[in-house]
Amino acid sequence: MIKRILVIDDDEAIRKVFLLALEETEFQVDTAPSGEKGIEMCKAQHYDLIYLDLKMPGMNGVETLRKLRGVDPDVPVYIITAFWGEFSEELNQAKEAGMAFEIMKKPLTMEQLVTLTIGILEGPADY
Amino acid sequence: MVTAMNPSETGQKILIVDDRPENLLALEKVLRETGAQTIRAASGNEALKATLHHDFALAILDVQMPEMDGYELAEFLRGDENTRHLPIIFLTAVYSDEHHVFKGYAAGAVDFVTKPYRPEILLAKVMVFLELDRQKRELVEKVEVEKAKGYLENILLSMVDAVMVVSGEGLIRTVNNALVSLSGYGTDELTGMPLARLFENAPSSSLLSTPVEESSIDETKALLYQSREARLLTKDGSRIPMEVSASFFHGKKDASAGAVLVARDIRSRIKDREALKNSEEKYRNLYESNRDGIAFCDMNGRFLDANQAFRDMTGYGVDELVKLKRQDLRPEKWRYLDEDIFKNQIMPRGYSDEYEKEYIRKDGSVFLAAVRVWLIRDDQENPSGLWELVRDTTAHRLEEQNRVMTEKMIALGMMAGGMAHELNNPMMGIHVFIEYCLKHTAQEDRRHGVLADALLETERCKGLVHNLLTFCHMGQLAEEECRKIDCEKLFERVSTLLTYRIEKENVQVITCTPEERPGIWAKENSMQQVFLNLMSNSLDAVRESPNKEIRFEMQQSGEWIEIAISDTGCGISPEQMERIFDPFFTTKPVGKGTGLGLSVSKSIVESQGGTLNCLSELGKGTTFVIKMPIGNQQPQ
Repeated sequence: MIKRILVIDDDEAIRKVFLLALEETEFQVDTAPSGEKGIEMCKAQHYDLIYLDLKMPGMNGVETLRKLRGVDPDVPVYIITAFWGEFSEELNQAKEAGMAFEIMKKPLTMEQLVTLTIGILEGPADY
Repeated sequence: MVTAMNPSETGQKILIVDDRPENLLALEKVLRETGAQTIRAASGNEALKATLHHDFALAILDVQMPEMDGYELAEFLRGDENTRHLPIIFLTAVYSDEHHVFKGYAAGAVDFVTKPYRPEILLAKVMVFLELDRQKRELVEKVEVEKAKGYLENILLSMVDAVMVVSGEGLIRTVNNALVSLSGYGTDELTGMPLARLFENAPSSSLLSTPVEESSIDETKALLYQSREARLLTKDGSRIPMEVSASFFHGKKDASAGAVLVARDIRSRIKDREALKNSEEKYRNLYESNRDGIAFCDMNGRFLDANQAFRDMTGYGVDELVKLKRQDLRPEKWRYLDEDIFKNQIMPRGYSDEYEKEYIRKDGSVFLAAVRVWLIRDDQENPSGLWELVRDTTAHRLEEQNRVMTEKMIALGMMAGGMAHELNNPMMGIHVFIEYCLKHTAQEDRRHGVLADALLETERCKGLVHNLLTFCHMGQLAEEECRKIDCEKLFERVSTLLTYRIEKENVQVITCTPEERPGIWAKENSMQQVFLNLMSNSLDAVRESPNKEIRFEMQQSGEWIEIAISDTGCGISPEQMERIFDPFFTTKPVGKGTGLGLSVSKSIVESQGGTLNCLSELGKGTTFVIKMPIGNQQPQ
């Protein structure tokens, strides 16, 4: 069964980055331009991995994370962000509330993205 | 014949009046024997005039005179208050009863002598009158003396000042109540007491006992007004400061020489004087120690005095300032402002608002100062001078500039930080897009190389953004995670980054580390930034040195690792040393240094539990020592 990845980021370039980087993997990559759209898609479809941006207009990353956990408490969520300083308090609160997530820092290279994704979805790699 | 005191001693005068000079001469000759002084008058008018200038004991009048005869003259004399009782002897040629013609006969002593007269008879009569006059004078004098004595006693008793009469031998003769109560001695104890026992520093008794010569009249006068401070030795042994003035006198005989001493208690005056002195001292101190310059000048602007701060500011001493005017210290371009303020503020209301103007120092340099000027008025409220308070604002200006600069840098830093973060998104896009293209381009394709170059350039951009973030000191520290790092490897990486400069300036980089060296748990990127900063500083420092060398040394000491980065550069002066870790402190030319490197480095090291210190010797070189805990995977 093909594993599905959802990328939630308001920046079209970043969404394209994921699509291009993971093009040659066997995973299905979907993208959502906002938190609201992402939640909607999660409700309609099961995802195995979610890449989430923090700074977004409308619903920000942390709010999206909280909603997501209501829909799917177990899916791995990787927050990919340039800067989380202004969200650190909200993130800590979410963590304390038992919501699992990881943080990765932008910029990531294509190679890093591929390695990371494979690592998450197929277990420890031999890199 | 009547015995009498020699009239020359009493100074008696006789008025003689006759219209014929030969008669006057004869009369004078007769009267010479009396010893009294004779004053001639050739007419009645002359005689009256003479009475205005002399106090006569007797008048001898010739009866037959043209114009005013002797009787008429006598009438005038009787009519005048001053001469009413003047005894008169009439000289008359006719022995007859005609003398009753004189109406004032009953009013006073009058006698008649007929001409030609016998000198001894005239003389006898004159002598009687002179004796009477002498007795009368003595009586009047006695009454006057008694009266005066009464007054003096009253004055003495009521005087607050202590008064004593001292004999020529320096013994106290008479004292007043004030002295008794001040000294604690009784009048009887004081009488006869040597003055030297009652006073310390009293007028010397030798002065008192020296009879004053006629020739030293001026000196006597001087002594009269002389006053000095002396201490009264009271009976209970205390000392009272007194101001003593003495007026020396000498009687007709030396035995009665002495002095009247007036002594005034000056305790309260001394207290006032001390209080005034203290207060003056206080204000003097305030004036001299004031950090603002204070200067006084007259209405023409000529300096009268200036405090230390003003002298330091201007470079002039008071002796030089008093030869200058306020205007001399003012650059011409401030003249209008200065004169305007003088005319529209100082003169109408007595002071100026604070205003800024420049002053010219002695060495010709100029400084900017904030000034306030006040008008000084004399007792009659007339403007008599000015004083000004001057604050050198050059330093203040610099501080202000620095503060503005700092604020600007902070604002700029925040903006740059925000931009750097924003740049990370497109940067990631570009990077991945190029990677994608590269991956899908054949190695042989020329475009492959171009894409590889584009990727390298993108890496450079990422590095720049990264540096900008570190420079702005935002987020980076908090966000970066600790990992085990090999400091030597890190240093080598930094050296590689700086290869261009190292090679261009022909600097020798020496690494000296032990074989067995522990890695430390620290934030790698931050530490790299620290090494980069220190290394850049070292490169700047050795630029002018003949021997260009940078050493990297490392050694373990217990749970700590010490890293030393030394150079053989110009060194840091002690004054600079105090400030090198201050943010925005830089010795580099404008545009070359941000003044942030060392302060950021220090805070990076300290945020990880380490220390950063500096040792330096001018002209020899500088060593920065980083001391870091080795730490473990989960520090703190």
